[in-house]
Amino acid sequence: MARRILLAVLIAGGLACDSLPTAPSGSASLRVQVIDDLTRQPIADPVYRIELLLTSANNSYAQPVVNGSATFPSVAEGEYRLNTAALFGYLQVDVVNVRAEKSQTLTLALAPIDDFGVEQISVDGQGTIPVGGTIAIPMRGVTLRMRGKYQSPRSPWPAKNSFAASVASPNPEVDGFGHEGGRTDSGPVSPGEFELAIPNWTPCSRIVEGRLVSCYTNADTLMLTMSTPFERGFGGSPLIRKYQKWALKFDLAPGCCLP
Amino acid sequence: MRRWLVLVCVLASACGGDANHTPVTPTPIGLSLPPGAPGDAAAKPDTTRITITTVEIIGPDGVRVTPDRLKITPTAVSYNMRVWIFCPQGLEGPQGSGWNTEILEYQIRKSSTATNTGGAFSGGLRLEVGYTVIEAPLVMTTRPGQERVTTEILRNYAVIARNEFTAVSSE
Repeated sequence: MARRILLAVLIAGGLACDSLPTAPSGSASLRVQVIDDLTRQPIADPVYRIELLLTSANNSYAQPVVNGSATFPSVAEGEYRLNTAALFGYLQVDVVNVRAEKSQTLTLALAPIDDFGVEQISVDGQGTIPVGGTIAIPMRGVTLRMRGKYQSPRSPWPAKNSFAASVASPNPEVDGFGHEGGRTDSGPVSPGEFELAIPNWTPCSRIVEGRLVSCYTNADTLMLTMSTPFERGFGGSPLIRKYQKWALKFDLAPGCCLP
Repeated sequence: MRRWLVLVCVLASACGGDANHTPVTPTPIGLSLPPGAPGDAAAKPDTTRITITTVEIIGPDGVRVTPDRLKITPTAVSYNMRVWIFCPQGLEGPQGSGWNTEILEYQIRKSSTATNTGGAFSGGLRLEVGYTVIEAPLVMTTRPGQERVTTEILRNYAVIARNEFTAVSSE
């Protein structure tokens, strides 16, 4: 009888300790708890779209962070580097090397930063433009609108931070960042959301004899900047400057474009 | 991309607030601390992030002083700050591609706790694995007072390492 109880206790104990899925033979499983470096609390808000990347010389794995953790259920054993990608808001400041073997759990602290990310691009009269979508460019360009999420520990809401975006050509040193036919209007619309509008934008950079030239027909990167508000005639200070992948195609009107 | 790099360098150099100072140049040291380095410059074992391990203040006589023991004289005394930075393997530059991942920026700001006025140094740097030292002058006023001295290492304008102390000068 005592032997049966002992066996039951051992089995129950084993089950209770095995919190991770059992890894196939020759592979490991890894669970990463993701926490805020300042508050030490789990980063559970999906708004940041955090993804963890586990890479080695021969293998790479990616898993989204859900409810503050990510699980890699079946990883080939070996040495890995753990990196982080996010739409905005957090930066991995530690270099994290992982020896994947059996089942293990580790904690990754991410630093909250001033940051923003574009979630939606639309064009007046053309609606929402998805990633990889095409924008028709008439002679006078289009009004580009972008919306997204932001956070700013150093200049929080209701500060009127400014937001800027350039739709860079694939070769910005030669073809530039497009031409704006007016001043970008931007600002936060709520404690965590912003919007900006770029009037009369064309994917062209130089004006020759009254026409815009050096036009490009596709782009894959947004160059984003958030700055503190303008104060008493002085420009704001940059809070973040970053790239965000967003592929676009441009269908230029014949004879395009006019500044 | 090169245009952004140039812009950043121009902005960084333009932001230097204090005049009449020697150039502030980051110096890579290597993985081991050199002889004579202060013990508190050593990073803790298994340090995984870029860290300002200590900031030394060296007096005109070459002797290290604590920030609460600075002396005022009829003429402004120029101390020297030595900022010790540790970079673990894997975070040395360049990282990835593009201007914003290739270089870091440092900012050293000094402001009076009474008047909130002061100055700043800033510039770009690339860290190598191990230790790097930034030397910068620390000029105290000729009157007793306190000044907050903040040193930050930034990536994409995000602060990734920080050190702050209050310098107290008295007669």
